[in-house]
Amino acid sequence: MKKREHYSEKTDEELITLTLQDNKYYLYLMERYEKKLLRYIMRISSLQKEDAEDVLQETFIKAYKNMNDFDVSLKFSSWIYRITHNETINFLRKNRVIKNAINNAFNEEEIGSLVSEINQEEEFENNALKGRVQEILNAMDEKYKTVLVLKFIEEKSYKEISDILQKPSGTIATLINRAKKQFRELADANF
Amino acid sequence: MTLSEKTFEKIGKEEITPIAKWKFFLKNVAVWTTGVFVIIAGGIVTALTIYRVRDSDWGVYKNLGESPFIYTIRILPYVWIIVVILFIAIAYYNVRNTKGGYRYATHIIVFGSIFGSLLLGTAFFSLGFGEHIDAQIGISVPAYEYLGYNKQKIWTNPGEGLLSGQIIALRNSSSSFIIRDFTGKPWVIYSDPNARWDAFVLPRVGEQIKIIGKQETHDIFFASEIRPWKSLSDPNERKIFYLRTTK
Repeated sequence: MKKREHYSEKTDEELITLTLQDNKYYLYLMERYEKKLLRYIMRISSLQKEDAEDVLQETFIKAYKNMNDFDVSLKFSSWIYRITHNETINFLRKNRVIKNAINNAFNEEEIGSLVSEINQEEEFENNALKGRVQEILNAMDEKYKTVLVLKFIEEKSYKEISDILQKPSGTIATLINRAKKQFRELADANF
Repeated sequence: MTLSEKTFEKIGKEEITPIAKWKFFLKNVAVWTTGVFVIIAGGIVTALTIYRVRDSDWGVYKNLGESPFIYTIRILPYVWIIVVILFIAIAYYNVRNTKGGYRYATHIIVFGSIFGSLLLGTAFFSLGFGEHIDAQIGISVPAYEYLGYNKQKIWTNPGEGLLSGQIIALRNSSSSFIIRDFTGKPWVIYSDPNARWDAFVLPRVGEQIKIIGKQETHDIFFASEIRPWKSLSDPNERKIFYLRTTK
């Protein structure tokens, strides 16, 4: 236990350096990101937990194999989110997935922050909208759903989203605006 | 057992190891080498395009009875323009595949590539690369002359007042001489006393020239303007020309 506490003080980048010397350190890095990434996969894909875990395992293995290619100008979290995102999209392309499945990957607080961001002009009744968030997100285009999740649920900055999705920051800003618009349109059609 | 522990076990059991650093290094070197090659090649092809466009005798559309637009469409060096566009597309793809390439907006990469090609192309053109490479391709690829602007065809239009060829004999200094056009036919040329002689053309045997004027009979042509067959954009060729004339 003491040992784990010791490694919790290390930064991601320090753990990468240590992992390249001894792979046991990779376990701590994986543990640090396991829950966050599993939720992220479920949020952008509607996958159930078992499938999401398969995707995450592939993600961790891919990240481990490519560790020597880690771009030091990036945050490790952006790099691992990027791999996770790409692996999830690959999985969705290769497998038939029920798009409208509800997997309860969002907690109330996160849904609240998304709704308050999108419903600033109070076009919709907040509580009713909160109850339909996942349904609306599932109906959205994948690219729009992803930016909303990254910005308002995962609380990533524009720079981080740009690094995760490998698109210029200006494009991210445009995508977020369009995503909000599509969310409102779908919410409007649903109420 | 957590997912992280299961994955860690799998990594150990399947003896998965990180890909060696040198493999990523080689990939990066390949991407950057391709980038440098594409920029240089794009610059050379742009120099060729500039040379071809400059060497296209923009003023003669009137003699051919064509509109400037039709003439422009006819003489544009499409092959080279397509190759330049291809190089810009490769440059774009290449930049996007560098580690931080995604950070730049599409229009910045595209306009940057166009600007880079124009800048380098202008530099190469002013060094005479465009002209030299054009001449070399002309020698190695016989069909090259017929791609895009067909200079010989345009300048073998005596009925429209355009003639070209090589001076084979001088009759009375510069006012009368004989040329053989590019189809092999000899012509007697009478040069008007007010005829304009380009600064880079000499009335001497062996000179290849272009003539604007009027056809008098089936083998007599009155010249009102005489230009060199090749426009001398290469500073070295200009120097050689001056040395030739001062001897």
